[in-house]
Amino acid sequence: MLKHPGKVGDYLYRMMLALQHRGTDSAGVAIYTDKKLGEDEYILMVQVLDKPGAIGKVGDAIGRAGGNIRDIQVKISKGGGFGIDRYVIRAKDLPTLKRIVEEVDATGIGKVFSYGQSIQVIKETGLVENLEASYGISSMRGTHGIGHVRFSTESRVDHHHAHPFHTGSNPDIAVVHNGQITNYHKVRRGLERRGFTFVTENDTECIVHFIVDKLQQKFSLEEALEASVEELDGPFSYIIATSTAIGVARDKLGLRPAMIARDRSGYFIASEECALVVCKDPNPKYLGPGEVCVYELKGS
Amino acid sequence: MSSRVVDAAKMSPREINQLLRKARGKIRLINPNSAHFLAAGLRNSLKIEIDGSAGYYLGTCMHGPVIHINGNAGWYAGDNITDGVVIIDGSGGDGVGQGMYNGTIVVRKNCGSRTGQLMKGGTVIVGGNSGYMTGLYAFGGKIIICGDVEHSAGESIMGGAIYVGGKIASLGKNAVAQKVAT
Repeated sequence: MLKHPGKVGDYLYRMMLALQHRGTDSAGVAIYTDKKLGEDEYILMVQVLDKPGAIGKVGDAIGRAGGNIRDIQVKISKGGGFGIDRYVIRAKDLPTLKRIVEEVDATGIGKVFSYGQSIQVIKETGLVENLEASYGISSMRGTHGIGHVRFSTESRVDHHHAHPFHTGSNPDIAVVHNGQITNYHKVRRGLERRGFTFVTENDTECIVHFIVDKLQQKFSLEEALEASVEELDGPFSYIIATSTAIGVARDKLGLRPAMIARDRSGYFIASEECALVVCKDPNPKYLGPGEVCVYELKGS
Repeated sequence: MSSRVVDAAKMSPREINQLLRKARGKIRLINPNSAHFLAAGLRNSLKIEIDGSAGYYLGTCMHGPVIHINGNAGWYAGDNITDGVVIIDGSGGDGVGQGMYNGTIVVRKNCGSRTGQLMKGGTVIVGGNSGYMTGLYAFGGKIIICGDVEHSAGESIMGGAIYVGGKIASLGKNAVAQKVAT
């Protein structure tokens, strides 16, 4: 998280490169833009198959559900076959926005990776360098962001199972995670009964719904993270981002690492110290077992 | 004897260790970039100065070398060493000295959790505090913590001793606390 808006993408790119050895299955980022949109404007990041008429079909779906496209940026993956397109749309309210997401997903041509007023999720299988070559993440500006390199332990390797995970229940929230949630099935069942829809079998998706559930019950972000340490089992550390904050939590036994550092430019969190070389903190600290930490944007 | 200086900036851990294996006398490693497994399995008489931080498993399974690092070390520094010395001017991560048989590890600042877990012999000295479950399952050796230790100190300890200069948050199973006469 930067103290002043800047090249968040560049920081994340360099941090993820330093951590590439931790996982080569997939890479992804969620970067929160500092460009303010209108009150009824939203960013949709959509993975679109590279087929004739694809953008038209996605555009139709958006229109059918009541959305009004204001801008499209198309980027094709260097691996071929698809791209991740950035739509700015106007939607009158949140239920309309959710309908738009459902319509786009139902086309079979497009799949929404994220939606909100500042979040931009870009992710795919492969290395960090591939992500950079396709989407130029290092040039993306913003206020804060999270990134991940994946070594799959629980579910299959494909673009949709890459991190970050964004929840359809709430705009602008995403999670990256290291570890396993061993009571995933039990927690998932409880959340599904409360109305949350899961779209993968990845245990990370459980974390983001869990936190959103707590936020909807008026927990603060810090309280929601503390609840996760109590209620989620297994070895884990994860970073969650909202439009105005970043939080990090570590399991009670401290079985997965999380380090934090700060300097004049901002606050940095990573699994290992080698990623914190982007920061001029001579004393990066390990988050203790069971500890949580939240950073909020100034003025939020 | 003057040190040979090696710039590790563009070297993989394997390349660094292959070079260290052939070295004699003194060597200074700069730009280690928190690489993992530095000095793994070394048996040669060597004094290594590391200018920066190391990643996980610094000096794992080594027998004999003396390592001095002016930065921090990640998890499991001195893992399973059978002899030698590791001196860390900064902080250590979790599991410093895990499973060690002999030798000495010094961390001038703080350590994470499970310091000295499963150790059989040797000495770990920590200038600051040590985390949760210090001395977990230790069979022997000495852990000396100048500061405080967190919860479950000496959890399931079977042998050896943990000396604490500061406060003990709580004791683990099997651990019995005794005041040492000064």
